[in-house]
Amino acid sequence: MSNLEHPEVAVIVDDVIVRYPGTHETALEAANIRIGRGQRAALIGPNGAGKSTLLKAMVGLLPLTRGRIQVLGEPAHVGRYRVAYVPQSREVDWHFPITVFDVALMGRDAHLRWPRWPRAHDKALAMTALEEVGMAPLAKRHIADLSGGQRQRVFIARALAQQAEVLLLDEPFGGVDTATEQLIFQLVDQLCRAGGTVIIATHDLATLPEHFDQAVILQHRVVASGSPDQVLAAAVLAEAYGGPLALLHERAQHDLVN
Amino acid sequence: MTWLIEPLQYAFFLRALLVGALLGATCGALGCFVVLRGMAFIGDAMAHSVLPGVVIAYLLGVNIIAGAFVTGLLAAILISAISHTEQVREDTAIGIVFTGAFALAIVLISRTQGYVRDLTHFLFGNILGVAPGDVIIAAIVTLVVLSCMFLWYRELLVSSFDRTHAQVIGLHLNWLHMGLMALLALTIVSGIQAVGVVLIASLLVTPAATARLLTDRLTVMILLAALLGSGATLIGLYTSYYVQVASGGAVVLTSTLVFLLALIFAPHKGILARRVHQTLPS
Repeated sequence: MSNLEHPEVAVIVDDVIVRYPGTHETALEAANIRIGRGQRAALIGPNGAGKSTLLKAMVGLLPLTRGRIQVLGEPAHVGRYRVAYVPQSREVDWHFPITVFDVALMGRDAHLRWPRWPRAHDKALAMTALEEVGMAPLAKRHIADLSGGQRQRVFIARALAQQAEVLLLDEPFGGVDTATEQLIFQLVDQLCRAGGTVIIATHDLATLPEHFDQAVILQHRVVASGSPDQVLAAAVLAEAYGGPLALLHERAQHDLVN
Repeated sequence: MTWLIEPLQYAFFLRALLVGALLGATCGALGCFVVLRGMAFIGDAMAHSVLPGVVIAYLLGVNIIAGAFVTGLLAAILISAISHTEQVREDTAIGIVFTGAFALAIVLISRTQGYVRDLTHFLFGNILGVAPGDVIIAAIVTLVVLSCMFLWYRELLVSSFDRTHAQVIGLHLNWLHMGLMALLALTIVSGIQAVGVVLIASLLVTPAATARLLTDRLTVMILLAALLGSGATLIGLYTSYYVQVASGGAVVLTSTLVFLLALIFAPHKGILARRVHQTLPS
Protein backbone atom coordinates (compact mmCIF):
# COMPACT_ATOMS: atom_id res chain seq x y z
CA MET A 1 0.00 0.00 0.00
CA SER A 2 1.72 3.22 -1.04
CA ASN A 3 0.70 6.82 -0.85
CA LEU A 4 0.19 6.84 -4.58
CA GLU A 5 -2.82 4.66 -3.93
CA HIS A 6 -3.68 6.77 -0.91
CA PRO A 7 -2.84 10.36 -1.72
CA GLU A 8 -4.91 11.44 1.26
CA VAL A 9 -2.53 9.68 3.66
CA ALA A 10 0.54 11.63 4.80
CA VAL A 11 2.17 9.09 7.08
CA ILE A 12 1.91 5.29 7.03
CA VAL A 13 3.38 3.19 9.84
CA ASP A 14 3.24 -0.52 9.11
CA ASP A 15 4.21 -3.23 11.52
CA VAL A 16 7.18 -1.27 12.80
CA ILE A 17 9.59 -2.42 15.48
CA VAL A 18 12.31 -0.08 16.73
CA ARG A 19 14.92 -1.29 19.18
CA TYR A 20 17.22 0.91 21.22
CA PRO A 21 20.61 0.98 19.50
CA GLY A 22 22.92 -1.77 20.71
CA THR A 23 20.23 -3.58 22.72
CA HIS A 24 17.43 -6.07 22.16
CA GLU A 25 15.03 -3.90 24.09
CA THR A 26 12.02 -2.89 22.07
CA ALA A 27 11.37 0.83 22.21
CA LEU A 28 8.36 0.69 19.98
CA GLU A 29 6.16 -1.85 18.33
CA ALA A 30 3.62 0.00 16.25
CA ALA A 31 1.12 -2.11 14.37
CA ASN A 32 -0.66 0.24 12.03
CA ILE A 33 -0.92 3.97 12.04
CA ARG A 34 -2.34 6.09 9.25
CA ILE A 35 -2.19 9.84 9.47
CA GLY A 36 -4.21 11.68 6.90
CA ARG A 37 -3.06 14.75 5.05
CA GLY A 38 -4.19 17.99 6.61
CA GLN A 39 -4.72 16.25 9.95
CA ARG A 40 -3.66 17.44 13.37
CA ALA A 41 -2.50 14.25 15.02
CA ALA A 42 -1.50 13.71 18.65
CA LEU A 43 0.85 11.01 19.90
CA ILE A 44 -0.16 10.51 23.52
CA GLY A 45 1.61 8.54 26.21
CA PRO A 46 3.67 8.79 29.37
CA ASN A 47 7.38 9.57 29.28
CA GLY A 48 9.37 6.77 27.70
CA ALA A 49 6.33 5.35 25.91
CA GLY A 50 7.94 5.60 22.48
CA LYS A 51 6.52 8.91 21.26
CA SER A 52 9.90 10.46 20.54
CA THR A 53 11.12 7.18 19.10
CA LEU A 54 8.25 7.13 16.61
CA LEU A 55 8.82 10.75 15.57
CA LYS A 56 12.55 10.13 15.17
CA ALA A 57 11.83 7.06 13.06
CA MET A 58 9.46 9.11 10.89
CA VAL A 59 12.19 11.61 10.14
CA GLY A 60 14.78 8.91 9.48
CA LEU A 61 16.91 9.44 12.59
CA LEU A 62 16.38 5.90 13.88
CA PRO A 63 16.64 2.72 11.85
CA LEU A 64 13.67 0.35 11.86
CA THR A 65 14.27 -3.18 13.09
CA ARG A 66 11.21 -4.32 11.17
CA GLY A 67 8.34 -2.89 9.17
CA ARG A 68 8.14 0.32 7.21
CA ILE A 69 7.31 3.95 7.58
CA GLN A 70 6.28 6.03 4.61
CA VAL A 71 6.06 9.79 4.76
CA LEU A 72 4.51 11.54 1.76
CA GLY A 73 4.90 8.40 -0.31
CA GLU A 74 8.58 7.82 0.39
CA PRO A 75 10.30 5.62 2.98
CA ALA A 76 11.39 7.73 5.97
CA HIS A 77 14.92 9.03 5.56
CA VAL A 78 16.92 12.11 6.54
CA GLY A 79 17.61 14.98 4.19
CA ARG A 80 14.01 15.78 3.22
CA TYR A 81 12.95 19.39 3.21
CA ARG A 82 9.28 18.35 3.03
CA VAL A 83 9.47 17.00 6.59
CA ALA A 84 10.36 19.32 9.48
CA TYR A 85 11.16 18.12 12.96
CA VAL A 86 11.36 20.07 16.22
CA PRO A 87 12.93 17.78 18.83
CA GLN A 88 12.10 17.78 22.50
CA SER A 89 14.78 18.50 25.08
CA ARG A 90 16.82 20.71 22.84
CA GLU A 91 20.34 19.47 22.95
CA VAL A 92 21.70 22.69 21.57
CA ASP A 93 24.37 24.86 23.10
CA TRP A 94 22.50 27.97 24.26
CA HIS A 95 25.77 29.84 24.62
CA PHE A 96 26.60 29.30 20.97
CA PRO A 97 27.27 32.67 19.30
CA ILE A 98 24.15 32.85 17.18
CA THR A 99 21.22 35.25 16.77
CA VAL A 100 17.52 34.48 16.71
CA PHE A 101 17.43 35.27 12.99
CA ASP A 102 20.30 32.90 12.22
CA VAL A 103 18.48 30.05 13.97
CA ALA A 104 15.34 30.65 11.89
CA LEU A 105 17.47 30.85 8.75
CA MET A 106 18.76 27.32 9.41
CA GLY A 107 15.36 26.06 8.31
CA ARG A 108 16.37 27.09 4.81
CA ASP A 109 19.50 24.94 4.85
CA ALA A 110 17.21 21.99 4.19
CA HIS A 111 16.55 23.41 0.70
CA LEU A 112 19.94 24.81 -0.17
CA ARG A 113 22.66 22.99 -2.01
CA TRP A 114 26.30 23.20 -1.08
CA PRO A 115 27.79 25.66 -0.20
CA ARG A 116 24.30 26.55 1.08
CA TRP A 117 24.73 30.29 1.14
CA PRO A 118 21.29 31.75 1.83
CA ARG A 119 19.78 34.01 -0.82
CA ALA A 120 17.62 37.09 -0.23
CA HIS A 121 14.55 34.89 -0.69
CA ASP A 122 15.68 32.57 2.12
CA LYS A 123 16.32 35.49 4.44
CA ALA A 124 12.89 36.92 3.68
CA LEU A 125 11.26 33.56 4.48
CA ALA A 126 13.15 33.30 7.77
CA MET A 127 12.02 36.80 8.71
CA THR A 128 8.40 36.05 7.78
CA ALA A 129 8.52 32.92 9.93
CA LEU A 130 9.80 34.96 12.87
CA GLU A 131 6.98 37.45 12.33
CA GLU A 132 4.47 34.60 12.46
CA VAL A 133 5.68 33.52 15.89
CA GLY A 134 5.99 37.11 17.12
CA MET A 135 9.76 36.98 17.39
CA ALA A 136 10.69 39.40 14.59
CA PRO A 137 11.44 42.26 17.03
CA LEU A 138 14.02 40.00 18.72
CA ALA A 139 15.62 38.83 15.46
CA LYS A 140 19.01 40.35 16.22
CA ARG A 141 19.15 39.17 19.82
CA HIS A 142 21.44 36.40 20.98
CA ILE A 143 19.59 33.14 21.49
CA ALA A 144 20.72 32.91 25.14
CA ASP A 145 18.79 36.11 25.99
CA LEU A 146 15.44 34.41 25.31
CA SER A 147 13.01 32.70 27.69
CA GLY A 148 11.99 29.06 27.27
CA GLY A 149 8.78 29.98 25.47
CA GLN A 150 10.56 32.41 23.18
CA ARG A 151 13.19 29.80 22.30
CA GLN A 152 10.46 27.30 21.43
CA ARG A 153 8.87 29.94 19.18
CA VAL A 154 12.16 30.46 17.39
CA PHE A 155 12.51 26.73 16.74
CA ILE A 156 8.93 26.63 15.46
CA ALA A 157 9.88 29.56 13.20
CA ARG A 158 12.80 27.54 11.90
CA ALA A 159 10.43 24.71 11.01
CA LEU A 160 8.04 27.20 9.35
CA ALA A 161 10.89 28.71 7.33
CA GLN A 162 11.56 25.22 6.03
CA GLN A 163 8.06 25.26 4.47
CA ALA A 164 7.62 21.56 5.13
CA GLU A 165 4.43 19.64 4.35
CA VAL A 166 4.73 17.43 7.40
CA LEU A 167 5.64 19.00 10.73
CA LEU A 168 6.69 16.82 13.68
CA LEU A 169 6.76 18.47 17.10
CA ASP A 170 8.12 16.55 20.08
CA GLU A 171 6.63 17.83 23.38
CA PRO A 172 6.50 21.44 22.16
CA PHE A 173 4.64 22.63 25.26
CA GLY A 174 7.21 21.63 27.88
CA GLY A 175 8.44 24.65 29.84
CA VAL A 176 6.41 27.00 27.68
CA ASP A 177 4.02 29.81 28.73
CA THR A 178 0.28 29.70 27.94
CA ALA A 179 0.52 32.41 25.30
CA THR A 180 3.13 30.41 23.40
CA GLU A 181 1.05 27.23 23.70
CA GLN A 182 -1.98 29.04 22.26
CA LEU A 183 0.16 30.47 19.47
CA ILE A 184 1.53 27.03 18.57
CA PHE A 185 -2.01 25.58 18.34
CA GLN A 186 -3.05 28.56 16.22
CA LEU A 187 -0.14 28.03 13.81
CA VAL A 188 -0.89 24.30 13.64
CA ASP A 189 -4.52 25.03 12.70
CA GLN A 190 -3.32 27.44 10.04
CA LEU A 191 -0.84 24.94 8.59
CA CYS A 192 -3.39 22.14 8.47
CA ARG A 193 -6.02 24.33 6.81
CA ALA A 194 -3.41 24.99 4.13
CA GLY A 195 -3.02 21.23 3.58
CA GLY A 196 -0.10 20.55 5.91
CA THR A 197 0.05 17.65 8.35
CA VAL A 198 1.16 18.14 11.94
CA ILE A 199 2.03 15.38 14.40
CA ILE A 200 2.58 16.42 18.00
CA ALA A 201 3.90 14.26 20.81
CA THR A 202 2.28 15.38 24.05
CA HIS A 203 1.00 13.96 27.30
CA ASP A 204 -1.78 16.47 27.75
CA LEU A 205 -5.05 14.59 27.17
CA ALA A 206 -7.07 17.73 27.88
CA THR A 207 -6.03 19.40 24.62
CA LEU A 208 -7.22 16.47 22.49
CA PRO A 209 -10.86 17.35 21.71
CA GLU A 210 -10.26 20.97 20.82
CA HIS A 211 -6.95 20.87 19.01
CA PHE A 212 -6.62 17.50 17.29
CA ASP A 213 -8.38 15.52 14.58
CA GLN A 214 -6.68 12.24 15.38
CA ALA A 215 -4.89 10.70 18.34
CA VAL A 216 -2.70 7.68 18.98
CA ILE A 217 -2.01 6.39 22.48
CA LEU A 218 1.39 4.78 22.75
CA GLN A 219 2.79 2.53 25.44
CA HIS A 220 5.69 0.91 23.55
CA ARG A 221 2.92 -0.17 21.19
CA VAL A 222 -0.23 1.42 19.86
CA VAL A 223 -2.72 1.14 22.69
CA ALA A 224 -5.51 3.03 21.00
CA SER A 225 -5.91 5.17 17.96
CA GLY A 226 -8.74 7.02 16.35
CA SER A 227 -10.67 10.24 16.83
CA PRO A 228 -9.88 12.17 20.02
CA ASP A 229 -13.24 11.09 21.51
CA GLN A 230 -12.60 7.41 20.87
CA VAL A 231 -9.10 7.67 22.23
CA LEU A 232 -10.21 9.55 25.31
CA ALA A 233 -12.84 6.90 26.02
CA ALA A 234 -10.13 4.27 25.66
CA ALA A 235 -7.85 6.20 27.99
CA VAL A 236 -10.58 6.43 30.62
CA LEU A 237 -11.24 2.71 30.35
CA ALA A 238 -7.56 1.97 30.56
CA GLU A 239 -7.38 3.87 33.79
CA ALA A 240 -10.42 2.06 35.15
CA TYR A 241 -9.51 -1.48 34.11
CA GLY A 242 -5.92 -1.31 33.02
CA GLY A 243 -6.55 -3.91 30.35
CA PRO A 244 -8.90 -4.14 27.42
CA LEU A 245 -7.22 -1.53 25.31
CA ALA A 246 -6.05 -3.80 22.54
CA LEU A 247 -9.66 -4.56 21.72
CA LEU A 248 -10.52 -0.91 21.71
CA HIS A 249 -7.60 -0.25 19.47
CA GLU A 250 -8.92 -2.69 16.89
CA ARG A 251 -12.29 -1.09 17.19
CA ALA A 252 -10.95 2.42 16.82
CA GLN A 253 -8.91 1.46 13.77
CA HIS A 254 -12.00 -0.09 12.27
CA ASP A 255 -14.04 3.05 12.88
CA LEU A 256 -11.34 5.26 11.50
CA VAL A 257 -11.01 3.29 8.30
CA ASN A 258 -14.72 3.51 7.72
CA MET B 1 59.75 53.14 16.28
CA THR B 2 63.16 51.88 15.27
CA TRP B 3 62.77 48.98 17.70
CA LEU B 4 59.90 47.73 15.53
CA ILE B 5 61.94 47.89 12.34
CA GLU B 6 65.35 46.90 13.62
CA PRO B 7 64.78 43.12 13.81
CA LEU B 8 63.20 43.13 10.34
CA GLN B 9 66.63 43.44 8.73
CA TYR B 10 67.17 39.78 9.62
CA ALA B 11 65.62 37.44 7.10
CA PHE B 12 65.02 34.81 9.79
CA PHE B 13 62.96 37.27 11.83
CA LEU B 14 60.93 38.35 8.82
CA ARG B 15 60.19 34.70 8.01
CA ALA B 16 59.19 34.10 11.61
CA LEU B 17 56.80 37.05 11.51
CA LEU B 18 55.21 35.81 8.28
CA VAL B 19 54.79 32.25 9.51
CA GLY B 20 53.59 33.51 12.88
CA ALA B 21 50.96 35.80 11.39
CA LEU B 22 49.66 33.10 9.01
CA LEU B 23 49.68 30.41 11.67
CA GLY B 24 48.12 32.64 14.30
CA ALA B 25 45.28 33.57 11.96
CA THR B 26 44.64 29.97 10.81
CA CYS B 27 44.72 28.50 14.31
CA GLY B 28 42.56 31.33 15.64
CA ALA B 29 39.89 30.93 12.95
CA LEU B 30 39.79 27.12 13.00
CA GLY B 31 40.04 27.20 16.78
CA CYS B 32 36.59 28.81 16.97
CA PHE B 33 35.01 25.54 15.86
CA VAL B 34 37.36 23.56 18.09
CA VAL B 35 36.15 25.60 21.07
CA LEU B 36 32.46 25.69 20.09
CA ARG B 37 32.32 21.93 19.43
CA GLY B 38 34.07 21.14 22.71
CA MET B 39 37.09 19.65 20.93
CA ALA B 40 39.87 21.45 22.80
CA PHE B 41 41.17 18.19 24.22
CA ILE B 42 41.14 16.57 20.77
CA GLY B 43 43.27 19.41 19.41
CA ASP B 44 45.85 18.85 22.12
CA ALA B 45 45.73 15.08 21.67
CA MET B 46 46.25 15.36 17.93
CA ALA B 47 49.24 17.62 18.43
CA HIS B 48 50.85 14.98 20.63
CA SER B 49 49.90 12.17 18.25
CA VAL B 50 51.74 13.92 15.45
CA LEU B 51 55.09 13.27 17.09
CA PRO B 52 55.55 9.56 16.20
CA GLY B 53 54.84 10.53 12.58
CA VAL B 54 57.64 13.06 12.74
CA VAL B 55 60.06 10.51 14.15
CA ILE B 56 59.10 7.72 11.74
CA ALA B 57 59.33 10.06 8.77
CA TYR B 58 62.76 11.17 9.98
CA LEU B 59 63.93 7.56 10.37
CA LEU B 60 62.62 6.58 6.93
CA GLY B 61 63.94 9.74 5.38
CA VAL B 62 60.59 10.83 3.99
CA ASN B 63 58.80 14.17 4.27
CA ILE B 64 58.30 14.96 7.95
CA ILE B 65 55.15 17.01 7.37
CA ALA B 66 53.49 14.17 5.45
CA GLY B 67 54.42 11.72 8.22
CA ALA B 68 53.02 14.01 10.87
CA PHE B 69 49.79 14.58 8.95
CA VAL B 70 49.21 10.86 8.51
CA THR B 71 49.71 9.98 12.19
CA GLY B 72 47.58 12.96 13.25
CA LEU B 73 44.71 11.68 11.12
CA LEU B 74 45.27 8.08 12.21
CA ALA B 75 44.98 9.18 15.81
CA ALA B 76 41.70 10.97 15.04
CA ILE B 77 40.32 7.87 13.32
CA LEU B 78 41.46 5.64 16.17
CA ILE B 79 39.81 7.90 18.75
CA SER B 80 36.59 7.83 16.73
CA ALA B 81 36.72 4.05 16.35
CA ILE B 82 37.39 3.42 20.03
CA SER B 83 34.59 5.69 21.22
CA HIS B 84 32.22 4.16 18.63
CA THR B 85 32.57 0.80 20.36
CA GLU B 86 30.62 2.50 23.18
CA GLN B 87 32.74 0.67 25.73
CA VAL B 88 34.68 3.79 26.73
CA ARG B 89 33.79 7.46 26.66
CA GLU B 90 35.34 9.75 24.06
CA ASP B 91 37.53 11.67 26.51
CA THR B 92 38.93 8.37 27.79
CA ALA B 93 39.63 7.24 24.21
CA ILE B 94 41.46 10.52 23.58
CA GLY B 95 43.53 10.09 26.73
CA ILE B 96 44.52 6.56 25.71
CA VAL B 97 45.35 7.27 22.09
CA PHE B 98 47.42 10.41 22.49
CA THR B 99 49.54 9.16 25.39
CA GLY B 100 50.04 5.90 23.49
CA ALA B 101 51.17 7.76 20.39
CA PHE B 102 53.42 10.02 22.41
CA ALA B 103 54.95 7.00 24.15
CA LEU B 104 55.60 5.38 20.76
CA ALA B 105 57.47 8.51 19.74
CA ILE B 106 59.56 8.41 22.93
CA VAL B 107 60.45 4.73 22.42
CA LEU B 108 61.47 5.39 18.83
CA ILE B 109 63.53 8.42 19.82
CA SER B 110 65.38 6.49 22.50
CA ARG B 111 66.65 4.17 19.74
CA THR B 112 67.81 7.09 17.63
CA GLN B 113 71.07 8.69 18.53
CA GLY B 114 71.73 12.34 17.90
CA TYR B 115 68.15 13.15 17.21
CA VAL B 116 67.35 14.46 20.66
CA ARG B 117 68.42 18.00 19.89
CA ASP B 118 66.32 18.26 16.73
CA LEU B 119 63.45 16.83 18.63
CA THR B 120 63.26 19.63 21.16
CA HIS B 121 62.36 21.81 18.19
CA PHE B 122 59.26 19.78 17.63
CA LEU B 123 58.41 19.65 21.30
CA PHE B 124 58.77 23.36 21.96
CA GLY B 125 59.06 24.86 18.50
CA ASN B 126 61.63 27.19 17.02
CA ILE B 127 59.84 29.78 14.99
CA LEU B 128 63.00 31.85 14.62
CA GLY B 129 64.52 28.91 12.80
CA VAL B 130 61.94 28.48 10.05
CA ALA B 131 63.27 27.89 6.55
CA PRO B 132 62.01 29.75 3.45
CA GLY B 133 60.16 26.58 2.44
CA ASP B 134 58.22 26.64 5.70
CA VAL B 135 56.81 30.05 4.81
CA ILE B 136 55.37 28.62 1.61
CA ILE B 137 53.94 25.62 3.46
CA ALA B 138 52.34 27.90 6.06
CA ALA B 139 50.82 30.02 3.27
CA ILE B 140 49.38 26.96 1.52
CA VAL B 141 47.97 25.55 4.75
CA THR B 142 46.37 28.92 5.57
CA LEU B 143 44.82 29.09 2.12
CA VAL B 144 43.44 25.54 2.29
CA VAL B 145 42.08 25.82 5.83
CA LEU B 146 40.44 29.22 5.38
CA SER B 147 38.92 28.27 1.99
CA CYS B 148 37.45 25.09 3.44
CA MET B 149 36.03 27.00 6.39
CA PHE B 150 34.50 29.48 3.95
CA LEU B 151 33.01 26.84 1.65
CA TRP B 152 31.67 24.63 4.44
CA TYR B 153 30.70 27.46 6.74
CA ARG B 154 26.96 26.66 6.77
CA GLU B 155 27.58 22.97 7.45
CA LEU B 156 30.00 23.76 10.26
CA LEU B 157 27.63 26.35 11.72
CA VAL B 158 24.51 24.16 11.67
CA SER B 159 26.23 21.00 12.91
CA SER B 160 28.07 22.83 15.70
CA PHE B 161 24.90 24.48 16.96
CA ASP B 162 22.29 21.74 16.53
CA ARG B 163 23.44 18.22 15.62
CA THR B 164 19.93 16.85 15.37
CA HIS B 165 18.76 19.49 12.92
CA ALA B 166 21.95 19.02 10.91
CA GLN B 167 21.27 15.28 10.73
CA VAL B 168 17.60 15.70 9.84
CA ILE B 169 18.32 18.03 6.93
CA GLY B 170 20.79 15.47 5.61
CA LEU B 171 24.23 16.80 6.55
CA HIS B 172 26.82 14.04 6.85
CA LEU B 173 28.04 14.58 10.39
CA ASN B 174 30.77 11.95 10.26
CA TRP B 175 32.25 13.35 7.08
CA LEU B 176 32.12 16.86 8.49
CA HIS B 177 33.84 15.70 11.66
CA MET B 178 36.58 13.91 9.74
CA GLY B 179 37.00 16.91 7.43
CA LEU B 180 37.43 19.16 10.44
CA MET B 181 39.95 16.66 11.85
CA ALA B 182 41.92 16.77 8.60
CA LEU B 183 42.04 20.57 8.72
CA LEU B 184 43.07 20.38 12.34
CA ALA B 185 45.86 17.92 11.53
CA LEU B 186 47.06 20.15 8.68
CA THR B 187 47.12 23.22 10.90
CA ILE B 188 48.87 21.41 13.75
CA VAL B 189 51.50 19.94 11.46
CA SER B 190 52.41 23.32 10.06
CA GLY B 191 52.28 24.83 13.54
CA ILE B 192 54.56 22.47 15.45
CA GLN B 193 57.53 24.04 13.67
CA ALA B 194 56.66 27.34 15.30
CA VAL B 195 55.41 26.64 18.82
CA GLY B 196 55.86 22.88 19.11
CA VAL B 197 53.68 19.93 19.96
CA VAL B 198 53.21 20.91 23.58
CA LEU B 199 51.97 24.45 23.02
CA ILE B 200 50.04 24.30 19.74
CA ALA B 201 46.74 23.64 21.51
CA SER B 202 47.03 27.09 23.01
CA LEU B 203 47.03 28.74 19.56
CA LEU B 204 43.88 26.78 18.71
CA VAL B 205 41.98 27.37 21.91
CA THR B 206 43.05 30.62 23.58
CA PRO B 207 42.40 33.24 20.84
CA ALA B 208 39.02 31.63 20.06
CA ALA B 209 38.05 31.61 23.73
CA THR B 210 39.14 35.25 24.03
CA ALA B 211 37.11 36.21 20.95
CA ARG B 212 34.05 34.45 22.37
CA LEU B 213 34.22 36.76 25.40
CA LEU B 214 34.11 39.80 23.11
CA THR B 215 31.25 38.98 20.73
CA ASP B 216 28.03 37.02 20.27
CA ARG B 217 28.35 36.75 16.48
CA LEU B 218 30.15 33.75 15.00
CA THR B 219 31.55 35.57 11.95
CA VAL B 220 32.91 38.35 14.16
CA MET B 221 34.29 35.74 16.54
CA ILE B 222 36.20 34.02 13.73
CA LEU B 223 37.68 37.30 12.46
CA LEU B 224 38.60 38.42 15.97
CA ALA B 225 40.19 35.08 16.83
CA ALA B 226 42.30 35.25 13.66
CA LEU B 227 43.43 38.78 14.54
CA LEU B 228 44.11 37.88 18.18
CA GLY B 229 46.06 34.80 17.09
CA SER B 230 48.21 36.78 14.67
CA GLY B 231 48.63 39.64 17.11
CA ALA B 232 49.74 37.43 19.97
CA THR B 233 52.26 35.70 17.71
CA LEU B 234 53.76 38.99 16.58
CA ILE B 235 53.95 40.44 20.08
CA GLY B 236 55.41 37.19 21.37
CA LEU B 237 58.06 37.20 18.64
CA TYR B 238 59.22 40.72 19.39
CA THR B 239 59.27 39.90 23.09
CA SER B 240 61.33 36.82 22.40
CA TYR B 241 63.75 38.86 20.25
CA TYR B 242 64.35 41.58 22.80
CA VAL B 243 64.05 39.68 26.09
CA GLN B 244 65.87 36.61 24.79
CA VAL B 245 63.29 34.04 25.82
CA ALA B 246 61.91 30.98 24.02
CA SER B 247 59.73 32.17 21.13
CA GLY B 248 56.99 29.53 21.47
CA GLY B 249 56.60 30.23 25.16
CA ALA B 250 56.51 33.99 24.60
CA VAL B 251 53.78 33.65 21.95
CA VAL B 252 51.59 31.43 24.12
CA LEU B 253 52.09 33.57 27.25
CA THR B 254 51.03 36.69 25.31
CA SER B 255 47.90 34.91 24.16
CA THR B 256 47.14 33.71 27.69
CA LEU B 257 47.61 37.21 29.08
CA VAL B 258 45.19 38.67 26.52
CA PHE B 259 42.64 36.02 27.48
CA LEU B 260 42.94 36.89 31.18
CA LEU B 261 42.50 40.60 30.38
CA ALA B 262 39.37 39.81 28.35
CA LEU B 263 38.04 37.56 31.09
CA ILE B 264 38.23 40.46 33.53
CA PHE B 265 37.52 43.50 31.35
CA ALA B 266 35.37 42.27 28.42
CA PRO B 267 32.44 44.72 27.90
CA HIS B 268 29.53 42.33 28.62
CA LYS B 269 30.94 38.95 29.59
CA GLY B 270 33.93 40.17 31.62
CA ILE B 271 33.96 39.55 35.36
CA LEU B 272 33.86 43.31 36.08
CA ALA B 273 31.01 44.03 33.67
CA ARG B 274 28.96 41.16 35.07
CA ARG B 275 29.56 42.32 38.62
CA VAL B 276 28.48 45.87 37.75
CA HIS B 277 25.45 44.49 35.97
CA GLN B 278 24.48 42.45 39.04
CA THR B 279 24.74 45.34 41.47
CA LEU B 280 22.71 47.69 39.27
CA PRO B 281 18.95 47.43 39.86
CA SER B 282 17.38 45.96 36.75
